Order: sequence, then C-alpha cells, then structure tokens
Amino acid sequence: MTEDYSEEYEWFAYYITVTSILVFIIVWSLLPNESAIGQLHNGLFKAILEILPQRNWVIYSQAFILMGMLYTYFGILMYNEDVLTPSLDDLRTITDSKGKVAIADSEKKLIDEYVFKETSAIIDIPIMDVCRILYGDK
Amino acid sequence: MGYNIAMACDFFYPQLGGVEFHIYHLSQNLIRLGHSVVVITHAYGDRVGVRYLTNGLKVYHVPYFVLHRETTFPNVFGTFPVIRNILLREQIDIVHSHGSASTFSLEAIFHANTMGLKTVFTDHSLYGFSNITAILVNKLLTFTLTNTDKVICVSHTCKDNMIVRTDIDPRRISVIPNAVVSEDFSPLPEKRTAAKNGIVIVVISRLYPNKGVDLLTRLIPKICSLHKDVSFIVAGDGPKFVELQQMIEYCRLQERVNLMGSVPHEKVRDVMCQGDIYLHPSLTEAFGTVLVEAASCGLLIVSTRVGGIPEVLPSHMTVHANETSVSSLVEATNEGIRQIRLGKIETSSFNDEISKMYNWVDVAERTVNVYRGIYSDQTPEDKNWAIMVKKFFKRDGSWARLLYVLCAIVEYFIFFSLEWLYPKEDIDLAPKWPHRV
Repeated sequence: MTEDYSEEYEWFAYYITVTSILVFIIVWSLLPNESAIGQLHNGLFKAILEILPQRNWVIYSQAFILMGMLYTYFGILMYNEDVLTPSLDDLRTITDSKGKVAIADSEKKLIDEYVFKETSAIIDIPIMDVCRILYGDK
Repeated sequence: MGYNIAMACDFFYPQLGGVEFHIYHLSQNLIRLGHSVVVITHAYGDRVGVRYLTNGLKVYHVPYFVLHRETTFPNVFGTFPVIRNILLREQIDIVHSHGSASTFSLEAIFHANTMGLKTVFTDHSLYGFSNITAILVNKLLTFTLTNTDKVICVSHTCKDNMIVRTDIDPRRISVIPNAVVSEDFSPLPEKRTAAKNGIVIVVISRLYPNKGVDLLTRLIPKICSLHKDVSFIVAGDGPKFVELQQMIEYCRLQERVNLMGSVPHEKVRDVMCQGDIYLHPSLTEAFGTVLVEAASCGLLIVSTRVGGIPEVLPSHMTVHANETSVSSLVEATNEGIRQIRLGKIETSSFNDEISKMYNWVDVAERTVNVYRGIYSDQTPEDKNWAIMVKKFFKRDGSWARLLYVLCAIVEYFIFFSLEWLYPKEDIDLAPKWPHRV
C-alpha cells in the first residue's frame, strides 16, 4: 500500500489540539502554590497563575464531566424506559405500520406456508397464532 | 441438539440493506438446521417489542435512543440490563453480532463475555485508518474483539483489513461469503435481444460518495457519446442524487438515462432484468452482494477492482477496470459492450452457477462449523474475568488500554448490581418455537 498523506494537516490539527489541552491541564493543576514558590521563579509562576482562571475550576470541570456522564447514562435508561417503551396494552406491541402479517385461509395452510417454513420476504406471524403455537397445549 | 443463538445488530428490518438480509437469511437457515435463533435490534418507529417472523424467528425490537443513521447512542454499558435480560430469558449459548458501526452488536458481545457466553462477530465492511470516524470505530472494535471467540469476515480482503485494524490472531478469523436467494434473482424466461433493442446498462446503488457516484457522473456522458444505442438505468437514492440529475440536464441525456430513485428490495430483480450490463463503480466494497445478485439475473458485470470484488465472481462473468479511474472504467465498459454485441458470452448459465456458488444453506453450515470450533477450541479460562482484564491490558496503546481495563471493571460492578436488582432466578424463561413433528 502506498502511504497517503492527503489528510496530514487534519491529523496534525488533532494532534496539536489534544496535546496542548493535555499540557495545559497538567501545567494548570501542577504549578506550585504561592507559598511553595522559591525565590527564583517567583515572578514567573505568579504571572502565570494570575493569567489563568482560579485553580478550583480544574476540579470543578472534571467533576462536572464525570457527573454529566453519569446523568447521561441514567437519563438515557430512563428515557428508553419511560418515553420510548409503550405500555403493555398499546397496539404497537402487537403490530405496526411496517409489518406485513401472514394471512392464510385455513390454519393448515398457515402452518404449512408460514409457521414452519421460511419466506424470502419478511412476514410477521399474527400474535394470536403465536400464542396458540407456544402456549396452546398448556 | 441445536445451539441457542442470539443475533445482535442495530440494523434489521424494516431497514433494508445487505447486513439486514444477511442476518435474516442466516437466521432462517440456522433454524432449518435445527438451531434456535433470536434477533436483537432496536425499535424502528412504531415497530417496538417482540415480533415473530415466519419459521418462528423471534425479533426483539428494544426501545432505545437512536443517535445517527439508525445507530443507537454508544455508551458501553447502557444496553446491559436489557441485553442481559434477553440472553437469560432465551437461554442463549452463543451471541453472534454483525457490523462494526453498530453499537448494539459491539455492546452485546461485551456483555455476553461478561456473562460467560460464547461470542462471534461478523464484519461486513472495510474501514480506512486515516479519518477520525475510522479511528474511533477501530478503537471500539479492538476493545470488543479482545475477548471474542471467533470472527467471521465476508471476504479475504475484509479479513486482511480486519487483522490490520484490530490486531487479532488470524486463526480466530474465518471467511464466509454472503449469499443470495438465486430463485429471487432469476433471469427473464426469454432473453432480451440486445442487438435489436440497444444495450441497457443498470446501476443499482445507494448514491453515496463511497459508492463511486462521482465516477459515474463523468462516465455516463462519455459512454453516451461513444455509443448511440446504449442507455442507462440508475436506481437508488442518496446525497449524490442531485449531481446525477444536474449531469443529465447539463448533457441533455433525459432520453437515455432513467433515474429511478429508491427501489424496494423485492423490485430490484425486475430492474436488473431490464438490462444487459451491470455497472458497479464503487470505491470500497467488502463483498458486494449486489454483484452476485446482478450476475444471478444474467447480467454481465463491469466493475472497479477494489476491496473484495475481484474474489467474488469468476472471470467469465466480469470485466474489471484496471484502475479506479474514469478512463479505465470507460475502457472496461466498452469491452463489456463489445462482448454483449458479439454475443459471445452465454449469460443464461450464470443463474445456475451462482446458485451453486452462493447459497444460504451452505453459509449456514459453515457458520455452524465456526460455532463448533468455539467449543472445540475453548479453554476453561476463556471467560474468566481476571484473564479477560489481563487481555484488555495487553491490547493497544498506553492510554487506550487503561480505558479498556476501566470499562471492564465497571462492567463487572454493574453485573453484580444487576444480579442483586434483578436476580437471575426471577427472569421467566421463554418457550422455544416447536419443531415440526
């Protein structure tokens, strides 16, 4: 395979963005406190710390992202269960607009053509017949 | 004694496509071989809940938040409660997932591994390495396939691609092609006489950039100016539809190019049978089921030589373009037209040949062999949590593997809480579809 460099600017942009965010966060959170600064770098560190927002925000934002993820997880589970799931007596649990239902004149024909035989089109078996087949002898 | 198999994928009927039909036909033929199969997919519109299809194929349409292009929201753990419930209810032995861009299939494998079940993954498409989507999909797949027992690819090219993408042991990968129902793709009883009516070239494809629609828009005017008796039928829809329309208006080809728009799958055969040549300008293709379908209808195939295409059909059914370029594709099309004019190829035998090469019974039997292979190759430690975490730690880069281990451990915590919240004993077992007596 020949090497393809057509997207190297894009890759470089990702690389630079991600690396600089990482370096920024490390510098921001690991810079020594004012009391711990020695005489030598006093001016420099102080200047950097003055430019940057308050250091509490490192913890705040990380906690915010983590809790945000947690809430999204539970939010989606609840959304799936409370909004998307129809109630048990809803018609959608039985049939729908996309389904083609197998219709046959007699029960024997239904059993021969649909119940134990595959069709090349996708066809639903009516729920009544499904119940009869699965639970009929109980 | 058959296996209890669960097919998991985001894509299933009512959506139409190669993967969807693969799952359907494979499941039906596995049932015919005496296994029991359920399909797990997400809800499509008002199609929610459980549906029984013919032959007792049970489909779970799980209500789930759909993010983009019918793929559910990827979040690694979100599907665990519902998938665990289904797997226990149906007493599943093997989870067989399809498609690497599908959240449901990847998560189902992860959860099944946690629960100690056997897992198989089938890949249907090729991926690149150089854009952000491909990188993310490949990372996700690397994570999922770490503890998957067997992987099935649809072509040898797909297998190579898979090994490079996810760095798994080639011995775990089998190649099983797709198949077609050749009775549904039979040629017309009496053959069209191409010499009298002029030659018709058919293109059926979703009109996406990766299907080579840009090549097609440049190729059609050239062919039309070279041959006066050639016309085109283009079926399919997609973002490139407008460009084709503009080309037709610009070159005044309304009489000779029939742009049909989207065609339902059961009508595809009728469209194909109106033509003599099937043109496939795709830029990437893992297998190309549509080529097999077209050949089965008795069409001569003109195609690019990309991905798995060269290994799909024997050389007398195809004319391949040497390069993926307009000029090379024009040359190949000319060659195809010349062969049809001379009448030196006998396309009527294609259907028989295809039905011997590609049928679902054969695919299902080979898949069952893969399932048997899982049991013969298994070791007691395969699904041991500590071993699986160790395997995760050996995979991939220094950051990714930490994330993998973290995900695995969180998953095990969730497993315990689910066991406590919804104990295994409280889950009803579903009755199995009876076999014909």
